[in-house]
Amino acid sequence: MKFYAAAAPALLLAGALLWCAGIVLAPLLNLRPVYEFFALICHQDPNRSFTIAGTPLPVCIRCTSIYFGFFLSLLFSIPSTPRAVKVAIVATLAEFVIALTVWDSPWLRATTGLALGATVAPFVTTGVQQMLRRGEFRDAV
Amino acid sequence: MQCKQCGESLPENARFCFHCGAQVPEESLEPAGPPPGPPPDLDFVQPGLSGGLFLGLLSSIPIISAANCLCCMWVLAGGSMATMLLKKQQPRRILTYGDGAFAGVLSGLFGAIVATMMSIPMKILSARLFGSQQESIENMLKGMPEVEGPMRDLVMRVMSPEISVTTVLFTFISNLIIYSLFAMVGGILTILILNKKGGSLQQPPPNQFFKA
Repeated sequence: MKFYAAAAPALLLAGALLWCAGIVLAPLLNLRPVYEFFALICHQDPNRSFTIAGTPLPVCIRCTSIYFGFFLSLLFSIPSTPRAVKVAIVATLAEFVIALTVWDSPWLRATTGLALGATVAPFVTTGVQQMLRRGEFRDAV
Repeated sequence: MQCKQCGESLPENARFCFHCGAQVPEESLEPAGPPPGPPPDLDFVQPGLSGGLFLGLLSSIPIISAANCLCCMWVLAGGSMATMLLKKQQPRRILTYGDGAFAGVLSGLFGAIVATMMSIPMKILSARLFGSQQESIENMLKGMPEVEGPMRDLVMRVMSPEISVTTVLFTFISNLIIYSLFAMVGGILTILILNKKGGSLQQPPPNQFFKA
């Protein structure tokens, strides 16, 4: 367990890289299972998704930005605070309401999504490390 | 307990009588109880099951499950619910991000089982409702040129009455991965919100590879 706790940041980075690579490669290689996988967690509206080579990504702009923000935060070890996470959550919710009522901007959606993913990443890393370090899985099983 | 001098009733473990001031003999005092032990361990199973049932059911019911398209709302909520139930066990205890993560993972794993089991009768039901309308759905898609390629295949598959072991297995494995990850994030975010001040971790250390 101690090894996994120590390797948690690297494992999370590898997982995030695989996740983001799947999103980018799916339209290029016409990977239908990847679209079906992400259909469980995203509306996949092509009008609200980035496109590659004219084909929409398997997730929307907001989801893409969150995942890439998460990955970039892990890659560059961007620090975060609880306040930053709360601000990012509020900004995302505010953008959601603004998009529904006043002004729908893909770039505003991308910015808030990037911020949310980037601020949450360090806390997820810490949570995974603490969980593995205490050997919770071993005790439960 | 009664005072041996004046007979007034006294609280247990009183050292002097409040009425006459007489000292209570030491043998009258109740022996001190055992020193307080460490706080009891948290039970993760029950909150995990409750959170999992919540997210599994809501992620299976048609129309309601569409909320999962909003950043996996029900899954995050399931992880959050498991963490709040965990907090309720010992309200004074400051939970760590690891506690929230584990509660979230458990709720996600159980929720995946519930959602997959619920998806089978839901699929049968939707087959009866939409099976006869597949031709009209195809005609509708013909009028939407932006929906093409893998997107079109996905729409047709969702509307298809086909149920197979492969489909169920794919759904189950996908749910296991997605629900456990997102419910874990929900648990961690809940800890972040619950621990307002003096939390066990004010600021996470910078990410460092291979550092315990």
